[in-house]
Amino acid sequence: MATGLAPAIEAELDLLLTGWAELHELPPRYAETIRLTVMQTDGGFDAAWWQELFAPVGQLLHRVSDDLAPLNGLQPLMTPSRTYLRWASMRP
Amino acid sequence: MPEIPACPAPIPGPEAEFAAWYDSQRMALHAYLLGKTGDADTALDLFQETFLRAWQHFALLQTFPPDRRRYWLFAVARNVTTDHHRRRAGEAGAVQTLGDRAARRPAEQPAPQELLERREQVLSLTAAINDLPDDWRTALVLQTLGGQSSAEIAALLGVPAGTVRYWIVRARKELAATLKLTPAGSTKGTTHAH
Repeated sequence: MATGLAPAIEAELDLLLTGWAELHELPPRYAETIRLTVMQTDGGFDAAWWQELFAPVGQLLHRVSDDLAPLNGLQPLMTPSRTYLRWASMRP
Repeated sequence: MPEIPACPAPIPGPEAEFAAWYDSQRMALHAYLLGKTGDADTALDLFQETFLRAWQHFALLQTFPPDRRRYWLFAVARNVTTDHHRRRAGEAGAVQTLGDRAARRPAEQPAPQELLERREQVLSLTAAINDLPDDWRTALVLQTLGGQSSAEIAALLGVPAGTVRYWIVRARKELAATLKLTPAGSTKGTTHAH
């Protein structure tokens, strides 16, 4: 950006402005503190927003429930298996 | 055994999205407010107030495209700055300037002569920046501290990019003259470009 100033003056001004910016920049740690302070307040999300957020989780739970439904018809664990019964019947 | 479906990718919550957006905007917003107010502590107060409003409306902001969301943020910043100026009107002398802040920053160690001279120059520069017309100062600080291009500053301030470049050139010339970086005989004369 040509200002019409001599290059040496431009360079000196750039150096000063860099020093000024370093002095006045918002330190990242302080910025983080402000962000955390801000986010401690109520964000004001409505019910629809939360419903949308958790909809995929609900769908997954339904799918898992449906997939596991056939397992309900399995024999109880304490019931002897057919393999055991066959082995038992072959014993002298 | 039925195959259990794979878990879907985790959905980023509003906190994560807000944090990322905050990080992407904070430098420019801080520079804008510092340029507008010329006061470091006030700029920080307004910075927090602006992002607080953004957080409270973030459910709505999430539906905006990035450009519009950014425009909304800086519109709020402009409003809170205007409100602040109204509140402070008539409270002459109560404003703590950038120079005051720079001056009270403690020297952590005894500074060498060169550092002291540099510090004095920065203090003089701070005072000179404070004396710039508002638009010039805001554009210059957005560029220097906020790292924004002329086009980005133009979009934020709602003026043509050429105007922003003109303001920055005038501001730099003014600073060079005030700090006597120009040949002897330069005087400080402000002419508003708007």
